[in-house]
Amino acid sequence: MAIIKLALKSLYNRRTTALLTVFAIAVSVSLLLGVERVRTQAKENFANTISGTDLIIGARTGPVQLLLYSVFRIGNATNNISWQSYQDIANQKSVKWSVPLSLGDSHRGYRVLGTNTDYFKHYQFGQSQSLQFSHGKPFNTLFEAVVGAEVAKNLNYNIGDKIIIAHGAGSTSFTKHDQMPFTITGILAPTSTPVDKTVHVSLPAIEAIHLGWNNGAPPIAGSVDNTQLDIDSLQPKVITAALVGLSSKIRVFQLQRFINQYKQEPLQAIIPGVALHELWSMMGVAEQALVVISGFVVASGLLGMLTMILASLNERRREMAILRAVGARPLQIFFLMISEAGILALAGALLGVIMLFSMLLIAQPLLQDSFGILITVSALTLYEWQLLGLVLVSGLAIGVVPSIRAYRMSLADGMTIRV
Amino acid sequence: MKNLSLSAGLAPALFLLCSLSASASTEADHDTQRQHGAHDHGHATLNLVQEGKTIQLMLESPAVNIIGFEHAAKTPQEKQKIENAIELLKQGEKLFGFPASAQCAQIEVEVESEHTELTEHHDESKEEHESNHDEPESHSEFEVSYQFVCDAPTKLDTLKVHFFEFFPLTEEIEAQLVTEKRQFAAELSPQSSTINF
Repeated sequence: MAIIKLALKSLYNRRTTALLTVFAIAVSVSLLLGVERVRTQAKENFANTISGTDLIIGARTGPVQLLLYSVFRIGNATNNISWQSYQDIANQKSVKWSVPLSLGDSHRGYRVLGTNTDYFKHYQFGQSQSLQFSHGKPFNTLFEAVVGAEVAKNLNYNIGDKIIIAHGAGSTSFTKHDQMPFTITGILAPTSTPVDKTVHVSLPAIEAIHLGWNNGAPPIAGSVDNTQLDIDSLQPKVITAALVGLSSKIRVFQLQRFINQYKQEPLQAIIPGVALHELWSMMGVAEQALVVISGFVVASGLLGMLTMILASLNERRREMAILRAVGARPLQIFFLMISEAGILALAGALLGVIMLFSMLLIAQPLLQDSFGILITVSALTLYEWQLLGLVLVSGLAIGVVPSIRAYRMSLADGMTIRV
Repeated sequence: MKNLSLSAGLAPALFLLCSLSASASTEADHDTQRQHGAHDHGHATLNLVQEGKTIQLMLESPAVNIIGFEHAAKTPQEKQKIENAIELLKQGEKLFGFPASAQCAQIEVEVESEHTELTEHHDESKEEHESNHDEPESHSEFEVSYQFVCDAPTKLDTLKVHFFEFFPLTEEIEAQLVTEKRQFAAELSPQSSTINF
């Protein structure tokens, strides 16, 4: 105990270098833990985006791509699928429910999803949680829209507001369907999924906003009579994808095979969880690279500590010699040096954790806004404790090097007067 | 200038496209289907679905993984090999090691392959078989579906796949798994052939 006190006092005497060393370790530790946390939580977020859906149907591409554009709204569809094929599949005996999805339009940078009211009933996220309305109700007539929580918050929308939907998916789309404003009838509760960033309208509405567009040119004013439009006459011809739920899971592979071998149209059915797994195995390399890099940053932080202690040994030749002269045994000198390394590593780890949590608190809203990734600020997990323990042990292990040096040289070295 | 040369280069391509689509539309009248599944030697797929006490497994593999050749059996040795393989494939309890505590038993199995007709039922459905294959196939596959009933499905935490031991030409099995708890995938190899639920 006395030795630790002595080490603390000695460090206090050299507080500038000691603090810098602690800071270097802290930065590396917070990076290590931060990478770990973002990695696991991003994964969890992705996995929690869709649940309760047995199959996703779309054009025949790759499973990952279909999953990304249909559920995560990342990238665009390679092909659409015809309404007729969709109906054919939706009417299969094993299908309990199905929800058509039509993508491709946008509202001020947010994707517009054409679907039907079943979407609000059957789409589930997290642990089988259904979508909830924080205000209002589902769309009912043609020009009504339901917006996600983030859309409502960032654009300051309320029930009854009128919005205009743009053609294409860019935020600065020139061609707006401004003849047909939509009224907001509902705002969804936050889900931390891409649903928050989506404007939902009915499928006929998607057809309606494209009415009168000839050869890519916007309709001439007055050529389409909005009042004449009604939901029944606007049957969609194509959709982008569809979610399917089965009455019995046993049938899932049979239906998947039926769809993958569908003769009339090249369709594909994916199991969301399986496609997610494929996505992880693709990203696995990048993930590991990140972990390895942050591991090396920690190593360089600890090496910095080693440099600092070794450099200080020269200055402290007298200190060691005096300690030996007043009766300290070589082993005690050894422990003095080791505890110095331990204190630095521990302080670095503690400060690192503090920095991590403050960084998470600052970055949390930013990450959610720009990437839709919710990082919860929660207690350290077992694995994170293990990482911290590893940092401490390596700090102590590195401390052995200067300790042995001090152990062997302290007396003779300090007493010899060099000119 | 650049635009001009580009469009000049595009013109033949466009012409080609037009003629292509024209020929495609005439082809469509014949209702021919030209879709082919992947066929990758050494590679098999396994689908598993569990609901309640029922577990269904569907194994698809190129024939070469199982019998070492894909042509129709000619010699008695080859025929014998196919018969042995089918016999083995039907013993799902040998190929799939469920934990004993889950109390699983195989109640149904069905082996389908281009090769089964040759050895098993010679007379029945022979005609149908032939009409299916009016052109000679260079590849052949095995499709085996198993049905198990497990009395204690909650105890089902691992599944050891012994397929590699019996059919060493198989290098990899890609598994898709759907259980009541979750959907996931696994890549199995002779080194790691256990699925964790």
